[in-house]
Amino acid sequence: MIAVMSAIVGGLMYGLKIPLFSPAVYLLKSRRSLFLVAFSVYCLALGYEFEVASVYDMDPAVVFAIVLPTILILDAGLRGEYRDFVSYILAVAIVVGFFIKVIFVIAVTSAILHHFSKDNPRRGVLVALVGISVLILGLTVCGGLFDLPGSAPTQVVFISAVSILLALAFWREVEKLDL
Amino acid sequence: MKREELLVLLAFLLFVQGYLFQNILSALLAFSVVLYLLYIRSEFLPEIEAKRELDRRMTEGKKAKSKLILKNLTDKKLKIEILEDSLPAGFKAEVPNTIVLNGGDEKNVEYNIIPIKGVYKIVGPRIRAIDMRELYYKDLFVDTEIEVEVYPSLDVIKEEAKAEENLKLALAYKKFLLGLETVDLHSLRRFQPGDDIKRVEWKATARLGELIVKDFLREMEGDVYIILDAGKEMRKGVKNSKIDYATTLTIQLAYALKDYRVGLIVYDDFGVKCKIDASRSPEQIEKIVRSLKITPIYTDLLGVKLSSVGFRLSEESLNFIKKVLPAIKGRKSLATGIIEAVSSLQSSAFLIFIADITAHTNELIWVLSQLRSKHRILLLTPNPILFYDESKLDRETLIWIYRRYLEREELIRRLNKIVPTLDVGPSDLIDVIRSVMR
Repeated sequence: MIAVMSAIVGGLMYGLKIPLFSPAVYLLKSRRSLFLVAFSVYCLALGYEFEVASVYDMDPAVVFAIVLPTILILDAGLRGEYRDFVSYILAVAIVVGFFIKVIFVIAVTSAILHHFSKDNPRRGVLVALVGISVLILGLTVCGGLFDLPGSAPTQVVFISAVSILLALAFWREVEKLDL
Repeated sequence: MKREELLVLLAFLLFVQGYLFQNILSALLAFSVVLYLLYIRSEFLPEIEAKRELDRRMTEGKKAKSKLILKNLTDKKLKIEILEDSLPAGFKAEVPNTIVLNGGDEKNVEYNIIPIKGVYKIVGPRIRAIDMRELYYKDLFVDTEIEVEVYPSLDVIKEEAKAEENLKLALAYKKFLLGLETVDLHSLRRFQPGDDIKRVEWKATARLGELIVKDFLREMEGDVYIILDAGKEMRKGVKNSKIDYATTLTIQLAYALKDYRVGLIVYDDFGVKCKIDASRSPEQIEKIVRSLKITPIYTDLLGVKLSSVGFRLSEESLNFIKKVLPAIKGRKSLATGIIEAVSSLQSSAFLIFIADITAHTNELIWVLSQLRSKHRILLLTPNPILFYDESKLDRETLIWIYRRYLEREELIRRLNKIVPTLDVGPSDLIDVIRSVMR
């Protein structure tokens, strides 16, 4: 519920149409494999519809309006959502956030924290914090190199390099289930 | 393809899209997907404590409860699947669907196992702990080994035995076969293994220079002993071995003859496995059923053809092994199972042998020839050809079976000269015996 609402509201804030399909993707959650395929298509379509030329010129609210709701949809589809009193308050806050950006950012951040707190996370929180910190730190330190016109591919390569590095640092062998 | 691999592929495609379309959003989406996967991988560290409780005594074909005590040692919710893939061949399990185990929770899961007769060591099961997002799993093996004894189903046998045919069979036995000794002297004869020393006629023994015993007249009531061969040849099989049918037949006979003093002797290649003295008590059939927990040996063929051996032993070596083997198995004498079995019979009785005639043939012939003067005997022999799996027939096997058939026919002819011998297959069993006895 919150995942889909935040995706739609966030998309509307930036005039996007693809997030309007998020309920259709979410409703496929009962068939996990189909959901994952639909989610992949949804992400690629989102990347095609909305363009950000540089990290340095980007409105930080984009992360809260598009990136975080997308991850919320992925996790809500795979694990399911808990409906409690807090989630209803957050849903109202997200709707209100359409008019007041700050409330939207706070509501989506709270929704993410509330959603993943059900996992009783420990090591995962560390991984997420290290990952985000390394990316922000790297982009800040290398700002002089990347903050140039037409440097988007370089920034993409840098972000992918950080992703690979993180994957190598925190990867461990786990048995995987079939599609 | 694995579910996780699809998400990794998505991240890769988003990076490519971001690079080609010069779009940072795609790269950020890809980064968040990678971070999400790393988060779940880091959080998935399942620890389950599991123990199985199982009835040690089961009945063939009847559902037996298997209780699994599961404890989640982490504070994370997990999905649990039970995989009964280490059960003995022929067993079936009705495992429940996926179970959700909350952090720190302990749950008792009960489900049914449908066994087949024999004695088995049951290990496992395997438990699959799956993360709540169903991306990853970890298999854990329950380290429990339980020895169970599975008895033939008495209810099924009773049902079958209640049929009219079996009642007729009991009448047939009464008419033709039974006899118990009276105090009236009938004749003198040579001593045979198993004869009571009290019956030795000392005067005749001294006169003739060999042990002579007294035989008494019989009346129409007496002991019936079912002598069952549980040797290797009888236990071989793919789906069903000859011993499966032989045990069913044994119980059918015991039930049909429940008004008589029925006993059972089970022997294998090395000695007597169990002996139940003849009795007419109501618990006798139950006792017989309990003693028939014989495990079949599953082979590539239905007990009619020995699997090929990579080397051949010389005749001398084989003779040496035959002599030494009983000693290895802990036997004191050189007598084989059948000789030990008949030696344990104290008085005259009606003996129903259920045996494989191809194993220890000479010995069987010798034993039957010796016993026929003292006991009334019927030999029932499960014919391996009738137990053959038709789907496995090919030209080579057919030729081999035909040769065996001819040899067997000859053997049956020889045996019939000594005692009445019946070939039985899985479909006829007691019907054939009845019709021949009429």
